[in-house]
This record gives sequence, C-alpha cells and structure tokens, in this order.
Amino acid sequence: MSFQALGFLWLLPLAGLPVLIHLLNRRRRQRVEFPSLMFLRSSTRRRLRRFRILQALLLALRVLTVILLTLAFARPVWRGFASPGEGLRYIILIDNSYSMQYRRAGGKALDIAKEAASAVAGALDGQFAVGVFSNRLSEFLPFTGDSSEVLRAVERVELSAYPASYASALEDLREILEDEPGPHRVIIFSDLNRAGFRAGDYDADGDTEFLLVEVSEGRENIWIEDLSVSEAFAGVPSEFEAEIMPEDGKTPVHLVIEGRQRHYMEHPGGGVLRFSYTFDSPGLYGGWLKMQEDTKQNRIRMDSVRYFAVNVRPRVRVLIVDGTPGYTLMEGQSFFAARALAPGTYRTFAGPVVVSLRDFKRMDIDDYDVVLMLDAEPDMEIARKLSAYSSAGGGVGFFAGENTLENPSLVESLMPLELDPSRVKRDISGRFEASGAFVEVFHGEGAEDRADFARVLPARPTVEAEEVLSVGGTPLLWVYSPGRDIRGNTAFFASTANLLWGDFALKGTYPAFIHELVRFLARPSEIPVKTLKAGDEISSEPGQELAAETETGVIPVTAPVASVPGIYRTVDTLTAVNVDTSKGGSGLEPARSSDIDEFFSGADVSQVSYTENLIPVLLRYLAGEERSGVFLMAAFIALACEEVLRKIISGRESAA
Amino acid sequence: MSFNFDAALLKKLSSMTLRARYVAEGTLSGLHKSPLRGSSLEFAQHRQYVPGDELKHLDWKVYGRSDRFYIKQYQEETNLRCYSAVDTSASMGYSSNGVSKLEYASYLAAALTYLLVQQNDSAGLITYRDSIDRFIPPRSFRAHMQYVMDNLEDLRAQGRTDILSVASEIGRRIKKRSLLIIFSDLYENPGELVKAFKYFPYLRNDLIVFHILDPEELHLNQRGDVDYVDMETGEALRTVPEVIRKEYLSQMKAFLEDIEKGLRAHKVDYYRISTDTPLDAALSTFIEGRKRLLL
Repeated sequence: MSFQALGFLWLLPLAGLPVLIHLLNRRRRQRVEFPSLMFLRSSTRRRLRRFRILQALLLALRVLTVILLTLAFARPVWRGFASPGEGLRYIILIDNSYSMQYRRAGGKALDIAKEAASAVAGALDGQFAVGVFSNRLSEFLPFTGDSSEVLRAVERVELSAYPASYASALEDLREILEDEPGPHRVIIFSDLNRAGFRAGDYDADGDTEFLLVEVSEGRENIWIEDLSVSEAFAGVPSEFEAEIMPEDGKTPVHLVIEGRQRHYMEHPGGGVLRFSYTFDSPGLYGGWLKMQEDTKQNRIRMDSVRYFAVNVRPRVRVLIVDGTPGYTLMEGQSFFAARALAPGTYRTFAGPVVVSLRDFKRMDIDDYDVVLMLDAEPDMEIARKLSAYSSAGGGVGFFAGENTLENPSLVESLMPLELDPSRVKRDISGRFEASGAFVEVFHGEGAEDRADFARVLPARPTVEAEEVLSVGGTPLLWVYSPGRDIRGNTAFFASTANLLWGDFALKGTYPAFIHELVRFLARPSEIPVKTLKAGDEISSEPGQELAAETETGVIPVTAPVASVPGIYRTVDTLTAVNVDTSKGGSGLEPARSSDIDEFFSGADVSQVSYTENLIPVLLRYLAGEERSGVFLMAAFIALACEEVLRKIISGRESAA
Repeated sequence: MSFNFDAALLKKLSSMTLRARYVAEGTLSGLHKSPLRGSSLEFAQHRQYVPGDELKHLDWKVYGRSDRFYIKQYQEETNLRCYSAVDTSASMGYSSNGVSKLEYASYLAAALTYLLVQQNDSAGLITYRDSIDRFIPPRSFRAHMQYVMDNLEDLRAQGRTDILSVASEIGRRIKKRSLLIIFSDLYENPGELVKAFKYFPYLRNDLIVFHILDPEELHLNQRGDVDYVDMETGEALRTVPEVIRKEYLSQMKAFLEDIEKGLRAHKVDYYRISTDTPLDAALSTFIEGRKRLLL
C-alpha cells in the first residue's frame, strides 16, 4: 500500500489524542470525602467492571476513527502488480492448451486471454515479451518496447491440441531468460486447471514475480475419454467401446466413417457406450466419434471428438486337418473345433474348412491363413508342406494326440520343443493310458467351466517357446512367434479336443480359446494402423506433406509432429491422433490455492480470478487503486459504533 | 406568614440559642401543648373507668352526679426528662450544601432543647462517637439550657462511630422513663442497629431517632471519575457515580427501609430527615408525628 498524500500521515500521532484526553481526565479525577463507602463499594464491584470495558472499547474506537480518517486523507493506494520499478520487464504468457477452447457467453477462454493480454500490453509502460505455452513453451517473442509488435504476437496465438504443463513451460522460459537481466514479472493468462500444475514440479527463483490471470470460470464439460475398436473383419460386426465423461452424461453421439455419418446414437448414459458396426469390405478406414455440439455442457469441442483408424481384414480362413476323423461325438475333434470357430449361422471372423489328412496332402494350402493339425499322423511330405507354408508366414497349430507321437520330430521341426514319449504310459491295448497324474483341471471364469483333461502329452519346451497355459503345473499350451519375416506363428496344444482326451471341447471357454489361438496364428495385417496423441511424432516420408482429416475439414500440418487431432494417411500406415485427455483439461478441475502455492513454493505469486469485468479489474490490480473510500467508510462505521456504544453507556447512566 | 427556617440561613445567626429560639418559636406558634403526655396538674379530659385504674384518679363528683365512674386525665407539662444524643463521628461532618449533618443535627437538638425548657421540661445532651464523649444530665432551668446550647455549638465531627456499643452505654446511664432523641446517620448494619435500639422501649424509655442524611447521600448526584474517601476510615474507592448510581440508590433504599421497618416494629419513633429540609418543617413533622402517636 502506498499513499498519494503522504503529508497527511504526519497527522497520525493525532490518534493518541483520545488516549491523552482519557489520561488527562483520569488525572482530573475528583477526590471526594464521603460519609461511608458502605454502598459505594458493593455497587462499584457490580457495575464498574463492565463499564470500564465499554469505556476501553469506546477509546479504541475513537483512536481507530482518527487513524482511519488520517489514512483516508492520505489517499492510500493498494500496491499494484505493475507499480513503477527500475527497468521493469513483463512477460506475457498465454496458455493455448486445448482446454482454453472452453466456450461461454463472453467467448472462448483463449479469446478472453488474448483480449486481456492486449489490454495489459496497451496499458502498461515497459518492455514486454510474449510466450505461448501448453505442454511446452511453443512460441516466444523476445523483449521489445514496441507495443504494436506485442499486440500482433498476442493476436497470432492459436489454440493447440495439447494439455497444459506449467512446469515445462516455465522451465523453457527460464532457459530463454537465462541471460536476461531481471527482475521479471510474469503475467500468465490461463484457465488455471489443476492438472496443469500437477503435470510436473517447478523450482521458482526469487527474482521473478508471477501474476496468474484466470480467464475462464466455467467447469462444465463433457468429453470422450477413450475409444477402442475391436479387431475388424469384413462382414463381421466390429465392436466399438467409448468412455463418455462425465459418466452421467447422455449426449447423443455420431459415428462418422470415411467422412460419412454411419451412426447416430442417443447415449443412454452410464459412462461407457458400446455399439457395433459392420465393415462390408476389407481395407483401411478412418473416422471419428463425435458428441452433439449444441448441448450446453459440451464446452470444449476438441475433446468431444475421438478419432480412430481401423484396418478391416478379410475373414481368417482356417484349414482344420483332422488326423483321426471319427463317427462318434467322442471322436469328433474337428467337429468341435469347426463349431467353435463358426457356430451355426453366426458370422465370425474365421471361416473354417475341415479336411482329412489325405485331402490335405493333395490340396493347395496357400489360400489359408491358419492350419490346425488335429492329432494328424505326420509324414515327411506333410512336414515339408507345413514348413513351406510356415516359412511363407502361415500359422500352424498342433493339437496333440496319439498320432502325434508317431513322429514327434515333425512337430519339433516347427516348434522349438521336445515331446517326451518316454513318459507316456500305455494300457494293454497300447492306447494312451489315463493317468491320475495327467488328470488336471482347467479353470475358466466360472465353476461350470471346469474342464477335466484325461490325457496330456508331456513335452519339454526350449527357451524360445512360451508356455502360455498350464493346468495344475502341467504345461498345456506353448506358442512360438519367431517373427513374420522368418516364419509364421506356431502353437502346440498338449491335448486334443475329442471327448476321449478331456471334456474341454464341451466347455464355454473352448470357443474363446480357439478364437484366441486362431487370432494368434493368423497372418497379420500388412498395413498397420496406429493411434497417437497430439504432439507425438508421426512416421512420414521425408518431405511428405502431412494433413489431418478432421471433423471440420482437412488441415495441413507442416511438421512431422501430429499437432492436430485427426486422421493421418501416410505411406505405410493410417494413424488416428487424439487430444490427450488423461493429462487434464477435459475434467476442468480448477487449481486449488494449495496446488498453486505448492507449485510455486514460496515465490511471489498473486492471482486475479475470473470475473465478467476481468479487464477493468485486472488493469486496476496492475495499476493499483486508491482506497480512500474504503478508509472513509471504515471510519464512518467506527463512528457509528462509537455512537451506539456511547448511547449504551449513557443509557445506563440515564437509567441510573 | 411562613418563614423559611433554612439550616444554611440559621448558620448565619450568631448563637445556637438564637437559632434554637428562632426555629422553636416559629414552629410552635399556636402549638403550645406538649406533644408528650403523662400525669399532670392540669386537667385534660375524662375517660371511662376500667378495672385496674387507680382509684385516686376517680372523679367522685361526676360519680355523684351521674352514678358512673370516670377517671380524670391530666396533661403533663413539666416533668419530662429528655436526652438529645448527637452522633459526632467524622461521617456526620459531611456536607454537600453548606450545612453538615452534624450542624443540622445540632440545630434540631437545640430547637428541641429550647422547646422543652420553655415548657419547663428537663433537657440534657449526650455526644458520642465510638463511646460517649459528653453526658449532660437533663435540667429545666435556663442557665442549663444555655450550657447545652454552648456544648452543641462546640461540636466537631471526627473519629469513628460505634453506635451499637454506645447504645448500651446510654441505656445504662440515662434514667428510666426518659425521652431519648438520637441524631445520627446510622451507618451500621440495620439488623444490629435495631437489635441495639429495641431495648430502650423495654426499659420504659421513649426513643426517637432522627436519621440525618445529606441529599448527596440520598441521590448521589456527583459526576465524573471520583476517588471517594471514607470520612471515618480514610479508605479510598475509585468509581464513576453515574455508572453505579442505580445500584447505589437501590441499596440505600433497602437500607433505609430496613432501618425504618425494624425500628417502628419496636415502637421506636423514626424520622428520616435530609439536611436540605427546612428545620421548621422537620420540627413540625416531628411534632405532628408525636401528636398523632399520643392521641
């Protein structure tokens, strides 16, 4: 606080006047002889103490009144952030994180920030630097005294797709200012979301003063936190799952694929929205899920759109080779496998074809993505055929059985594991003997999914094979994935799917097991799709121009960084880029004062909170404001209190 | 024609005798009869005989005429013994209007003495503080009256009072069937006071108490911060009269009521007089009161 009429402060000792008068009155106390103190003493004991307190209060009020009046005449001015100082330099930092897109009646938060920053630059004298930040300090105009240059720099600021990180931005600023003489006064125009302060730590130096200007007040927003698409196969419904926030939101959403709206859904609420969409033909598809814009709660457009890229593949063709085709259900291993992959008329991602071993030898298998060998008795011809097929990237799965033991080397040539026939016990008829040691339980999700395995083929894996399933300590499934350029994936299941070897085929977990196995064995898509977050580097050919297909149109992006959320089509991939909602912004939780204090850890920080009249308030704060009125008002209040108190005291006297 | 027998005015008169005469004669113009009644030479009235009356007082002439017994009553004129007991403790020296309580009590005592001697009654004087200072037995001749007046004029307020012990001493020293008039501000515990005074009527003494108070004591009109000093003990008390007035007056009122109630209950004639009351009015009140009592 400073004073415009300092001379009046010399009158402050007048505040002692009431005390002086009081003391003089005390000295002028009369000495009176009285016949008896009999009643005076007891009356005094009862009444005088309260009177003395009231009198002291009255005296204090009188002193206070004099002080307040003197201060009011001295025309006090609250110290402004921009109070004059030697070589003062201001740094305007504008937050352009995507949460600054927050819309309200007064405009977008970023627009308010720019307007306020321009007003500050126009109103203050001194040198200004201008910085723009979200997760980093992205642009910086060095100190200049040319206000028009400053205003132009402010005007150029555009919204980014990144969440704010005050720590990173201020560290960047510190590096820039390393050689600049201080002191500096940093004015940050931001929505002051809590996540921005929690994104990192910052060690403030004592030479810099900070003023935080809150440019947005509303915290109402809905957004799509996440969107996932299941592996897509042509003609098979693909499952979409979107997490809508906040969970009680019921905003309608649109599904747009390749620029065309395909779906409109009234979101029933509950947080997670699930729906399916069937891609008719294989190929790369890009699209987005978008929340209805015209709802009150949808304040930030950027986080209410979620982009996705999907590679729709043809159905997986599965060749099931039945080594022991039987006529009973007990022996129907290919029956169970085929039914599990394609149950009735329901269309799944896989199309199975069952052949006998003899047919397998004769047919061309290159058109198939996966070959499942169900207890097939191998020979060298089959081994060569499978080896060539695997080398070309085809996936081969073996289901063990008695025939498998006839030529273990066949499996061993394709899978890095050793079968161990010596441990197999046989009964009198030479059949694989059921052994208690091999009776294990396969645990599914529920008790009804218990599966009893009567026979499991013992095997010793090498280090390359990964054991992914075992029952009670006995290995059951190994997988091997040497790399598609070397060989296709292989798997070895140490039991088979007929009812003689176990009841696994009858269990609910069996189809899921087969599906998962086939997905593993199937040839991968040659054109992968990616999902990135804004700011990540995107793979592109040197010199290739990047463009983001967004819900508002195609936006060219010059850098190899995916700075704009959208769909990016590059030479070798299709990429969906989204804002990173996990780093704050979308939740719009306001920073608490403790967050700010902790973040700046003792640095000189002040804050101007959002108000409808932000700019006048801010300018007053910067320049300081005369507060004579406040002191006058306080003096009048003190006078009124004094009058009331005096009436109370005199009321007692008159009552007496 | 009415006179203002203001105590402050009387103070200007040169001698106590003159003051007493001035008050008494002015007051008693037309009131020649003694307010005190007993056996007397002068016939007053008849009343019907009741068993127990002395036969010597029977009016035989009336009996002869009417065949009824009547008793003759006489007005006593000269045979009253009266003691004026004046409190001369320091508290009696208090004055807020020019006349101290002691002066006022002296004037009143002097006027009564004058009145009594004029009617051939005997008047004496007792002055006391914590014990009896002077004891002048009652006599009815004029020279004695002058002696009493001189003593009244010579009174000085000082020292502490202890009326409780003084009362018993007075009780021992005065003759029976006497009139005792006490002039005091009575700053004692009312209960104790009544206890001390109630024995006088039992001893067939007639007791009259003049409770002399200063207007300031009754109203506490002092203003500002005051250090009050007890005139008897010298003890000081710092207070603000405006603040404590209500409480003080309430306590004082209770005190006065307790005393009056207690004394009247024991047939003590009690008169509360403020020193701003004109002396003739005080005296008239007293005489009227006595007359009502004796009717």
